Amino acid sequence: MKINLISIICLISIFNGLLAQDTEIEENSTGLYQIEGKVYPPELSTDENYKNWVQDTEIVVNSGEFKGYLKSDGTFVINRVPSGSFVLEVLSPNYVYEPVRVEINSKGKFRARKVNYIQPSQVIQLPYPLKLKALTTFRFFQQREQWKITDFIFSPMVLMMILPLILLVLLPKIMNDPEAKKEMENLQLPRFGGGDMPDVSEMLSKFLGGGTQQQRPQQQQASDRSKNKRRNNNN
Amino acid sequence: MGKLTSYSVVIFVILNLIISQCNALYEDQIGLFDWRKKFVGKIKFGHFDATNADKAIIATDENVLAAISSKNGDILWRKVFEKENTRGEIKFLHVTKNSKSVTSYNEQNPFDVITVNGYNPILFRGWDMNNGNLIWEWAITPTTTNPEESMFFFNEFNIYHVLPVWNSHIEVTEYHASTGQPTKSTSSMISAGWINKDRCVLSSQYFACVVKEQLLVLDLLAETNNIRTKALESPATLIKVLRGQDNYIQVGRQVISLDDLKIVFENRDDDEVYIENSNILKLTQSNKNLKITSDEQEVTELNDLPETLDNNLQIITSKCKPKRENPNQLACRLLVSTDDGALALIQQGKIKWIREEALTKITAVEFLELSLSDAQGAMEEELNNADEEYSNSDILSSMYRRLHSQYSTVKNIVLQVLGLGAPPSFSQRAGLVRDDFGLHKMMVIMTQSGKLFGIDNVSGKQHWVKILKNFEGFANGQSAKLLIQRTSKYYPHPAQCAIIAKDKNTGNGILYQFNPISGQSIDKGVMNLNFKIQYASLLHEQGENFLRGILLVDDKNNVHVLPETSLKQVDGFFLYTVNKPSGILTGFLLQYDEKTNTANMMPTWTVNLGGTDNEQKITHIASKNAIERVHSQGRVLADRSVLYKYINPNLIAVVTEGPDSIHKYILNVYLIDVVSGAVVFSMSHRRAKGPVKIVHSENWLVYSFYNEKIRRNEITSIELYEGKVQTNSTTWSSLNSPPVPLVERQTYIFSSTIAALRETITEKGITNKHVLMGLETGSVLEMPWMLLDPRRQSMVPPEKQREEGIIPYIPELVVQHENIINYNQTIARINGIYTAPSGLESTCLVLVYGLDLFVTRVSPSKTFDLLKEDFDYFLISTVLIGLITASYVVKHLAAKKTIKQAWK
Repeated sequence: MKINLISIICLISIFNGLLAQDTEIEENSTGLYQIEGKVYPPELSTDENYKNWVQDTEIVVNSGEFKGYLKSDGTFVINRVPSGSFVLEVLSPNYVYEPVRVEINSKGKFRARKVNYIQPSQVIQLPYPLKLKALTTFRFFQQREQWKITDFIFSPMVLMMILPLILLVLLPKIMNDPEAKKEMENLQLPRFGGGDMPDVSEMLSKFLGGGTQQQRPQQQQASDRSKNKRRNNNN
Repeated sequence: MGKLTSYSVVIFVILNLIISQCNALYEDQIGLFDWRKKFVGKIKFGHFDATNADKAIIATDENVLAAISSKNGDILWRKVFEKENTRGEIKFLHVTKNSKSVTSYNEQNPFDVITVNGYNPILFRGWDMNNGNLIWEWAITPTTTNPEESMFFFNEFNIYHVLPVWNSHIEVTEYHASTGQPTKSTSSMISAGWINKDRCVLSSQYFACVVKEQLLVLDLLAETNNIRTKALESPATLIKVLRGQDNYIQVGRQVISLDDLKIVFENRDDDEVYIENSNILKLTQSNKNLKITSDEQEVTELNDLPETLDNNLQIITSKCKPKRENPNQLACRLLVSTDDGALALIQQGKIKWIREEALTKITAVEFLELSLSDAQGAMEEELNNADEEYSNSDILSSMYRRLHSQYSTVKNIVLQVLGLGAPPSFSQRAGLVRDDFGLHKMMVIMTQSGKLFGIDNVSGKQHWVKILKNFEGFANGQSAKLLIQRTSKYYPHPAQCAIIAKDKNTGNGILYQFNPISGQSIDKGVMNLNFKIQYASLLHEQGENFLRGILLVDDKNNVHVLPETSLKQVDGFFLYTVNKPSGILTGFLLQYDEKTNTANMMPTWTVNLGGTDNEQKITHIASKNAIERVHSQGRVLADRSVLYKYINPNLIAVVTEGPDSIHKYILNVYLIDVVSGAVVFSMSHRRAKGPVKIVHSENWLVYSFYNEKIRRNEITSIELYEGKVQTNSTTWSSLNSPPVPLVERQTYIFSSTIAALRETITEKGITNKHVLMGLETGSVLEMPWMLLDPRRQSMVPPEKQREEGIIPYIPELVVQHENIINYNQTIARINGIYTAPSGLESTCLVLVYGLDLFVTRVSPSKTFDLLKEDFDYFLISTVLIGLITASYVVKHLAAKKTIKQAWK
């Protein structure tokens, strides 16, 4: 009986203690919590925006439902936030920060993780209190194209002009070389079906090679030869 | 898996290609055609800094804390608090009066500005005045039922939270300012059954109430309850705290010091009174004349007050010192504000600067083309005459006219040079003449307070301002209407706009017609109508002098038309009305009765979107832009057939939102033909809620919402097609049972919350359409339609079936930083985007408004009708000159060669 009594008293006291603890938590928190963190500016930043970065930076939770502001050392707090899941963003006009999802459960436990809209179940945990580092600076602008000689040379217009020029200058020279000529003839043979097709190389050389008059008879012979050959082939 | 990665590589490459095609700014284009103006809102509290008053710390009704330079009115720093008043509303602002910063006990964190925000929770913050950095922050959650009536005062190191419980007691809690520690274990309750709402004020530590013919003053810092009373001469109804020095209140017409309860001033004319170092500054304003006096001595007088300040000026804060030459007189620097929010600094009888804070609450915008220059106008006149007399004119007479006009132009120029000619017109003088490309326009802006602005879109200069008295928007959150009755195209008739609003006192309609370029009112100015307005719009056709009439329907369904001669035109006019809370849309047909010369309204259809228990409320209605033109009738498919667009000009999109027992929230979107009342298409999103933003154009609809289930923002796009045959290519009739459209739809994930959506618009609709997205982060994103296209498919079709310009579907829309058109010029609290075509087909003018204003241009298909800005004139001219010289040189050389050849 005595033991029973004692145990009952014990139980009651434990129970009381539990109750007291519960009420204490409630009194302390009233179900509202404080999100804390620190924002780091980009390292080695030299641009003019850098000196105002604390002033220009804002912490926004759920696109403006709760807002926080930075102290000069980059720390921030967001007071009296209920439990739930929140997306915390660092808004800075010049620096890119990654948003963070902060989850507070009903007991006041915090969890920070990467925001993933496509696979919401995937959890990549981040340290809490939050440490937010700038990824890069925003790149809003296109680069103007610089004028370069290579761009100019390789532009289609210029290529179209240069290729015919090369043809004009080089082809007659090649024609003058007798060995090359022979080769050309051999190559061209199967191409021309009819005998009445004018010879391109001949025409070209005639047209351009003003100073090759002495070689004309030779050429004539060569073309005659080729014609004969063609005839033979036809036969 | 390999396949998947290869797909993703392909997609990435394609995306990159597209993105590189997209327009982005070059760095040297900053500020070339865009400008931003930052605002803070209408001032609520304001104090100069204590040392030399070179900046003012102000708190506004837009929940903004800012420091403003006294020199030029620029914002030195600005903190924008939460939009919702529960957390954001600024309740209290304290700026240290001594030149030293307030330091806490341990002398560590000097702070000079304290703000108290919101009522649930109440957030206390200390700021550094010089750079706006936060020094400390803490919060309390009040447990009472009326936390929004909290009052605060600051004393030495402590903040006192005063919570009156009307007709019962006052609860005072003392906190140590920089830590938020309560200094006492409990808050003190002071029983005071006599306190009454609207009859009590708090001025620093004194709680003062008017009870019948007595003034009761309670010192909240006193150890014992000490209530002092003062008998008033007559029962006063008005009790207010005076700005400036603490502990001065105005009861009835008497200014009383709360320290000794003496009447220090009798405010007989009921002027604005301000206390500065025990000096009473009295502000009297009459007929564009402003006078500030102190003890019958004049401090400042302004004779020609600009119109923008002519609206109940109030002194917000001041810094005065005795004049050097005459110590009895005061020299003051005064910060004054008007009812609409204009903020000005007056010093030495001059207005140093004016800030137009009414522009934070823009309700309607129109861009208007400027008028012709005098010379162009003369030319136009000649051509007009030619047209009129064409039938009975011969060559000789038109020749004569031409010569005559040329003669008069020359004469005008000569006279102008000699300074004898007719003075140039207003618009010529102001530089408000049309430019070659139609890029220069006048922005007519209407604000919530009834202040109208005419602002130049190129320079940002404010050309005119007009304050409409007793002005109010319509019920159900509908703003007043700004209508363009005639554009500037009809020379010599000037452009004409009209504003239709509600009278604040009577509830009847107000009509104000004006010239949008000069800002001058037309006819009688503001016209008070003797009926309440239910519906207002422009007529479709032009009446006399190319003026479009205004159709008004009063609350008794009577039809009014202004001018009355246009009444005939309402015959066959279809209109619809919406009851947002009940979700009912009703269509009407107007018919004109020739015998009685009246028009009557006939209901034709009713649609109830309220759902079963009337849970669904209409939240948004999106119609197409009236000036929109659709250039391309269809879309070419991969097999070279054409899919025709369903372009119904009478189609509107209606969004309803409401709770649901199973899915928590349901969001419905309906496409309704408002002539026939047919519901063309409807969609339902479960567990989706607002804020919905929607844009409707051509044959498509894009809207954004929040998906509760997966906790992300999504964008849905819908496209409507008639099919492979077009029923009628020339005219559209909603009544001839048009075909049911084919619907393409797709939803995308978007990482940011969208604050505003708008499509770009151009003159002829040839240029691609992009969707401009104002984000909550303050950026404005130009999203190519190609990325939102609902015909993007997740399965990549084989090469042959692939349509031109269609990218494979990927669920997330990526924010490309190059597509942010306002680069680092973020716009706080974007509220809306307005787009207008320019004279160039490629270019669309954009105004983004919210707390700030941002004006820019976008060219969705690049400026194909202009030479590129970086067009290399130098290169092309050197190449040309080089070629010419080369050809001459070569000619010469060739001649030489032939001569040589001839000698051989």
